[in-house]
Amino acid sequence: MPGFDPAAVADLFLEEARRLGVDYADARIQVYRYRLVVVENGVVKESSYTVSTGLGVRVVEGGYQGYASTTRLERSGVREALEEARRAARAVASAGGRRVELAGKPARGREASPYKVDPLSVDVSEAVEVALNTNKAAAEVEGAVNVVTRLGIQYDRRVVATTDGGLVDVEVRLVGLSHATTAKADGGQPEMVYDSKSMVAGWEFIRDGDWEAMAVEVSKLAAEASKAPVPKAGRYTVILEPEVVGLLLHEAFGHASEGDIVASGASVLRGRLGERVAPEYITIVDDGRHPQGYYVPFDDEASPKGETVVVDRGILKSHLTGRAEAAELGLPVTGNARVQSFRHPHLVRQTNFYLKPGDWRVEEMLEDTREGLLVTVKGARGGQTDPGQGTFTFNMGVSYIIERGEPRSPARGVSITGRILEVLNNIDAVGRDLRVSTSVFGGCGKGGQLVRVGDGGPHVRVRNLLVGGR
Amino acid sequence: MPLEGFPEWFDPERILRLAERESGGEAEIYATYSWRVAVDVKAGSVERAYRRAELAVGVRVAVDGRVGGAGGQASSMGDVEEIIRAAASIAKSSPRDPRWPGFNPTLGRGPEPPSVYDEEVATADASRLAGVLVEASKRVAEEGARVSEASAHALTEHEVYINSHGGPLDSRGTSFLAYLEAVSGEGSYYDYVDSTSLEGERLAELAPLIARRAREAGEARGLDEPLRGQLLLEPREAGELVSVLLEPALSAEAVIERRSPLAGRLGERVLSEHLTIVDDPGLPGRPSSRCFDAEGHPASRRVLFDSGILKAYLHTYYTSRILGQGGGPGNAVRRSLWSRPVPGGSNLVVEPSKTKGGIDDLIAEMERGVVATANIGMWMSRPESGRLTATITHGYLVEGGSIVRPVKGVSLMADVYEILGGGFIAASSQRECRGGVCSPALLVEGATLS
Repeated sequence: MPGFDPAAVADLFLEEARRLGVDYADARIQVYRYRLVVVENGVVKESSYTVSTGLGVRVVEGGYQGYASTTRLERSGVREALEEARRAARAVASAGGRRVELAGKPARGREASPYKVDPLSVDVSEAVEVALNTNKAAAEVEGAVNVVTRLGIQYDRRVVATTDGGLVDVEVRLVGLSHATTAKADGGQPEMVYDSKSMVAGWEFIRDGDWEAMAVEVSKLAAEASKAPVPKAGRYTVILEPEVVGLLLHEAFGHASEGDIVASGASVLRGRLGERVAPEYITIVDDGRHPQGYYVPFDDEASPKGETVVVDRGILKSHLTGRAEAAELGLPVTGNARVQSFRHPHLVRQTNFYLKPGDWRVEEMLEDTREGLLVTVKGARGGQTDPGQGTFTFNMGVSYIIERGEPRSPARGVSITGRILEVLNNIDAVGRDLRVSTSVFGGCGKGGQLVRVGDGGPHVRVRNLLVGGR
Repeated sequence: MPLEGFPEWFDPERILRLAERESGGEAEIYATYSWRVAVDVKAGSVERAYRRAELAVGVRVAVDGRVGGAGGQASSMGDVEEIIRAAASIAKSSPRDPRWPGFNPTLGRGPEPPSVYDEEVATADASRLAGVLVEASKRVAEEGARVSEASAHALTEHEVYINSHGGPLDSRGTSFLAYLEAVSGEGSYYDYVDSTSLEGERLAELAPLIARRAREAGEARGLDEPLRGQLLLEPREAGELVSVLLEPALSAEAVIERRSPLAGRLGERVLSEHLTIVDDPGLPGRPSSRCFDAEGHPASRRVLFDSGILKAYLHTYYTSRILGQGGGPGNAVRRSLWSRPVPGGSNLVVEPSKTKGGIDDLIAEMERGVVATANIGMWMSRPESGRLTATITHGYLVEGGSIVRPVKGVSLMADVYEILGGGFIAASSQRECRGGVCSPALLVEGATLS
């Protein structure tokens, strides 16, 4: 860990900002470490460690904003970054740019995510051993032709200071393991299945997990999927697993609810606050403190992040905002201004975006579905949305054809496509279960920045969903 | 002598010796010093500008086949020493890779690609970039649409590579990237330009097309029924297909690790005889052009598919030593400066047709099908099997050689080796370059559209 005190850099920043006499400035001082172990077919392909420490500043002058960053954390480096950001703000002014106002009052506080054993204090050989054993177990399953196991550990400390009184200090530890098997059964096609589990926690999460069992299950599923048919393209009644619901909501609804996209005019949700956008049994929230999600008690403007109800029993109640979007849209600050790292400018980002549970038991939902598809996330590549049109597409994992109320035969190559507002209105059953998850290996990409997020929900049933196939 | 573009204290040879001493083995140092100026536009006006400069350093060490890597941003030798200690510690704790051949011993430069550094990009300030976006935004407004988001980036990068066998090798390059999204009613559309030169005029020229397609998207709807017809991929879409499905399969590592459908197919006709694809690190004006790869090996042009016949894979030094066929090293790329090199393309070039005309001529040849002008989700396709999946967000329905109406939300599924093999019909006569791929439009059949 670095031999400097981020809080002392924050003090330096505040002194220099006052000396410079800018209208407003904020700083993000970040200490980031990331350990990655990758094992492929029994060989350690990568064991690496990322070190990143620096300062990002924003200056608002005359209503115009500019950003700069530096890795030089002594007084002269801090001063130069402030001056550079001020020059950038002046360039925006001279280009006839837009003025910003900042709503709300930033917070003060210090938070650390819970953990028992600091994961970076554990010798790397232990991480390598877990990854090797997991990989070996997966490789022994018949039909497995390629097995890749990754183990990731992240430490991220951020101190955010603002010239209008905000000062927060947040430490997050995130650990996880993922495994992917490509299998090819006799007469089948190569099929890759992937599973991943991450948690805001310490080494105990890795130490206590049954990773070999997870990897074996992945390999067996890949071998099974390799022989499975691709379903015929068309419209289906579909039951979505919680992880699929999370992906869908995050991509197709969450992005459209981000205040910067709304303000730019590129969201299907613009101008629809107070309208019914879904049935009354649909409630969607963004919560920075969900225990199974990523940990965002404050955003990168030092605003507190609690639970934001975006859709309340079918009515669109809120967009997600940072301080600038809140001022522009006349909405409360929801604490969603985030950055990938100290080098990046703020964007409105989701934290843990999920659907609240309903009242259906999963078994009831299945029994009530005579024909359809059960869509799962294992093997899913992810999803993408066009928030301007509300169109989404997801490449899903191994799925099961439902016949007479039971998931019977597997299907591979399932992709789902639709327009989110239509799909929300075609949900006719919401499960009473709830799963929310995050990942140490990926996150959400937007505007060239990647941030950690969580998402999830209960099982849901959607009628008339377009499934791509043969 | 300090290296051009790097801070004076940064001495790669000294850092290499420190890494060798700390680890007791061989080492490599890969570093960049870069600065970026960027401007963002929101809802038609400039919202913010930013500048960042940073030195990033990657260190990998190997001791008897035990390899460790570490890296990150550095502002002093103290930071570099922390990185070296971390890399050495990892190597000591790692199991031996029985196939480890050492770091690349053949360091050198291939032909110098022309026009990879542009002083105008290197000296661009926020006002210059803002001017580019303001001009393009005006053109969009003249066409009855408005800009929702736009951004322009000017990046200058100096890089240096050295390992225990030789070096240092250094180079410099610039890149300019400008992106613009327009909205009109319920429709939106985006496009971008990328180059080593500040090509603001190209963005302004694209603006009317972006505006027109945003307007058309507002009137578009899905297909009335699934169809297994023809598909015309515009150059940007065709380039993404090559990048997402062919490039990973051409990786010699994917071949070795049994996750490529091209394994064991060298010398076979895999694609249509009308398709030739080369990797060309010497293209003028492309940000991916280079004279040495990410492990210091000379970069050179390589034919991958010659009239459809698979001629070579993409190799690093590591994969070339293990596989021993399908070409030699020269195609190392990295996820980060401190991650291991993996095979990847520089500029993958799909040769355009010498006998066909432009996109309009290909449309005139179509009986019934869809022209894809934008998609979401193609990146989720499966290179291990060749299964292409995407949703066409913007396109046109074509019947009898004429565009009937705009379409959107069209689900696409195909086997890439079928549509580029027996299903391939024609390429257009002109190619466009974006990212690391240059491709003409490709007309194929055999895809399922629903």
